[in-house]
Formats: sequence, C-alpha cells, structure tokens
Amino acid sequence: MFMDQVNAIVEAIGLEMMNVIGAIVFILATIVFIMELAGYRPHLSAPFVRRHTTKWDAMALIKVAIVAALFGGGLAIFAGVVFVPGIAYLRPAQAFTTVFGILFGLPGALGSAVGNFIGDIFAGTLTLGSVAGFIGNFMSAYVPYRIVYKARHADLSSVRDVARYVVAVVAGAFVIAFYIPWWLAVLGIIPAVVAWTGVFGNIWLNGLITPWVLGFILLKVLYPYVKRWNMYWADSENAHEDLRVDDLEDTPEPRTTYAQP
Amino acid sequence: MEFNLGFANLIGLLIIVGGIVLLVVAGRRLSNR
Repeated sequence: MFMDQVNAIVEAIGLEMMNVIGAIVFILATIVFIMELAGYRPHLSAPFVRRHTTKWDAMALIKVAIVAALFGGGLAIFAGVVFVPGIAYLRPAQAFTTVFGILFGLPGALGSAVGNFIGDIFAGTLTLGSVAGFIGNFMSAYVPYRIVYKARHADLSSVRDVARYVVAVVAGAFVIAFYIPWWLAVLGIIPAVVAWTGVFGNIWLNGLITPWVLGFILLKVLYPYVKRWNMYWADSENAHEDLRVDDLEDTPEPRTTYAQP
Repeated sequence: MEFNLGFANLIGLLIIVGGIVLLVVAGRRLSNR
C-alpha cells in the first residue's frame, strides 16, 4: 500500500540524490543527538546553542522506562509482519515515539531509542543497523517534540494545533526515513537500491500513517492526564511559564515533579 | 510480506500492558499533586 507511489518519488529523485540527502540528514541528526545527551540544545535563533532544562532525575528515568516498555512491547506485537526480512516490519507502535516525544520531551525520545532496541531483539532484527535505529528513533520522537513544544500546541485544541501536529509527524518521519537507510547503504548491510526503494518507503510510511491516526488519538486522550500528573515535560523541568499553559479549561495550576527547594 | 506471529509477539502485548500500568501508577503516585 502506497509503496509504489513512494518508490516512484524515490526513482524521480534518483539514488545518488537520496544518498546525498541521507548523508546530510545523518550528520546533522547525529550532531544534535550528541549535543542533547551532553546537555546542549541547538536553536534556530541566537544564541544558537543553549543548555536545555532536562535533569535526569528519578521521574525522567521513569519516563524512559515507560516509553521503552510501551514502544518495545508495541513493536514486538506486530514484529511478525515482515516487509524486508531482517530489516523492516509493520510498526504501528511508531505512534508512541511521536506522542511521548511531545509529552515527555528528551526522556521520551531516549525511551523511544531504547524501546526500538528492545523491539529489534524481539523481531530478530538486531544488527549493526540497530545503531542507526537507536538514534533514528530518538530523532523520530525528538523532531516532533521540537515542533510541538508548547502545552498550548500539544493540547490539540484548535485546527492550528492539529496542523502543527501533522507537520511534526511529517518532519519526524522524514528524518528517520533518511537516517536509517543511509547507514544501512553506507555500511553495505543491504544494497543501496534496496535501502532506498524498500526500506526508505517502509520507514517513511510506518512513521507517517499510524502517528497521524493512532498518534493523534493517543495524544488527545493522554495529554490531559499527563498534564494533570505534572508529567508533561515543561512541568517536570520547571520550564518557562509560556511553555506550560494550555487552552484546556480544566487543567489545574501547573506544578512540577521536581522536589521543591 | 510474511506473517509469522507467535509467542514473542504475545510477550510484546504483556509488556505493553505493563507499560500502561507503570504510566498510570507513576502518574497517580509520583505526580507531586
């Protein structure tokens, strides 16, 4: 389904061009990944590099564990529906990366990375490619998180919020769909032709369709609970007030999960 | 496309249930309300 259309686009762009785009995405995403783990965040306005507010406290680790369990388990359920043997399978659980990236921020993204690792073990697809899978799935949560970064956006209370969510899913799917095949092609784990005409489309569609449908429903359902539990990333991290207020009527006064000084 | 669903996939379902329980418990008990 839709694979032929995606492959037509890939053929129109050409394998050489796909490799070039893949290389650019891979390098940029890897730099961002390392920066984030080191405590720094790139921004599009000056100052371009700032420290982020994530503290790896107990609540952050709980979030990593929860997302890893949900995503890893969710991947395992459908791991038997194989598209490219040893590499790609049906992943409706990909919706979790988008949703928990938006809700939990950096811990959610790291949980997605760990969850993908667990999923690879279950699916029998644990290869050298899983290294790219780790960072790629981190990015597939991180990119939507950076786009839908305010509580006002994450509550999906208006058409603009929904549009922003749709764009965030497209951007996240784009990054992971270029990231992993490029690594697979460069290391020669699979031929470049298979990477771009088989794996690319699979990852792209996996990262697009269920996050749009299932992810939208999940975010709509989960957001009010997560906000009330003070587990929304901006609440947990005591971020700026502007990031923490939403448009829902019954959201209580924002607090934080950090121990108060 | 191959379909090859079995025991490992069932364990995935159990883990997901565990994850949901963990989320709700963490939310209700550790939320500093």
